Amino acid sequence: MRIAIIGCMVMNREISRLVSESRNPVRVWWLRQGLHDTPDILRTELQRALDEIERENSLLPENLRFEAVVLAYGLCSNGVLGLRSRSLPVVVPRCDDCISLFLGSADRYRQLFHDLPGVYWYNAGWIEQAFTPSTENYARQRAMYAEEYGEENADYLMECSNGWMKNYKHCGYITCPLGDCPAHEAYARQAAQDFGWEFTKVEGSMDYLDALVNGPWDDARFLTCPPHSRIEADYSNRKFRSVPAGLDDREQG
Amino acid sequence: MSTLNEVSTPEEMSTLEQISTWLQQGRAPKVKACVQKALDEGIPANEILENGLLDGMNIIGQKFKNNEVFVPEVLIAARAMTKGIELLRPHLVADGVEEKGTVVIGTVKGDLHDIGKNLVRMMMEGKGLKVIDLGVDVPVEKFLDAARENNAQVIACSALLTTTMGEMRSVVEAVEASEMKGKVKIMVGGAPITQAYCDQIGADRFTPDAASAAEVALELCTAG
Repeated sequence: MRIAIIGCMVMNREISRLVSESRNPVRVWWLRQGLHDTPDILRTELQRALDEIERENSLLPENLRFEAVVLAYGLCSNGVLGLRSRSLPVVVPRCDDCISLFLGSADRYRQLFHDLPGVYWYNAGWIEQAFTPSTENYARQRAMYAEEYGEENADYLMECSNGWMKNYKHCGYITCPLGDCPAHEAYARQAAQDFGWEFTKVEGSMDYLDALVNGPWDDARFLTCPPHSRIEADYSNRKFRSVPAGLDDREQG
Repeated sequence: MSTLNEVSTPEEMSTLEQISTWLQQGRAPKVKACVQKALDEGIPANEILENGLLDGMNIIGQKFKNNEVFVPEVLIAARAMTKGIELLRPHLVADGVEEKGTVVIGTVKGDLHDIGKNLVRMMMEGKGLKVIDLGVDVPVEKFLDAARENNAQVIACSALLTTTMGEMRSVVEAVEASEMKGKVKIMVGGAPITQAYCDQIGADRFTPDAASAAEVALELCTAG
């Protein structure tokens, strides 16, 4: 089966490995990490990529066309809600975000979220691709606030933006199943020490990501949104459902 | 960021206009100084609040809705407003301006984030509401106990994470099962919350931002 994946750069290493070894010919459209902070922009970018994949598909010879689009995204601040497909089924994992994918299942994520109250997650992708709390990153952020909003407001804004850190208690470091990098673990350990969090090392898993790239997309772990449908939240642990979506301008045209 | 001088000279403005202008720039010490100046000029505290502090805050709230300013601008403006209100409060009390209602607010259990909740609290206080802030990681029972003890009209629940938003359903169910059913209204908000979710769990009101949360809370408190 030919598959198109829309991937968040935070999963670049894991997905790239799986793609290289997949029995499926897979092509990946990458989006930058961090779009979940602005869910409306995430939705727009995802829909744009979906539309591009469908347009690309129409230009490919029939035997080279994609048969499904896979989103390497969970709810991700609801950025996935409202996406619609026209000609291809869209597969999305039933999880809150990438942490479930890195941990191997949504159930494992829920369990650890419960066992480690106030946990901030670190892993290779987050350290390499994202803003993660560290003493250097905070110094940069404070300097930006001071320049933009004045010295008298810088500390207050730091307190507002980062006050949650005082409430957090755990630093969860997810190892990379492709081979863990000691520098990443050291980075997470340093952050735990700087912010007074308890460091916990958790084994990463490729199980969920493997199923994402290679299938099968069982209904328990994945929503398969058929063509001419829209992705909606169902506000349960299943996270998503699909609903038929009427013709839009493009289809009418 | 444009500086004030490019726009206008504060000295040429009335004291209330100065308060509004400095507040929009998040200059808390300037706002405090101007509020004191207004009091010294004999302007009634209520007028300083409405036409100075809240005027500025409303403008920032509108700009935020229009994506002209972002969260930091709103935060520093709200802080400036709070500093001004602190100075005004004894005068408001002396003038017999009463609190318009009581709201219990908190971030739901398991969720430790409070930027949005704090902003909503400040906006509600600006509207003349008494706000009991329970902080973060608030269990269902604590919302109910606080509402009971303080005779609150509204419980406002906040969540940032899709992982924790389910707790709001428990708050709604607990209020439904209590003697406060129908009397205490439940408001929900936070990044992952939508009107559809509010409808599904049977909460009374969803608001997408801090300014409208304060308006709706005031409406709910004064409706009864």
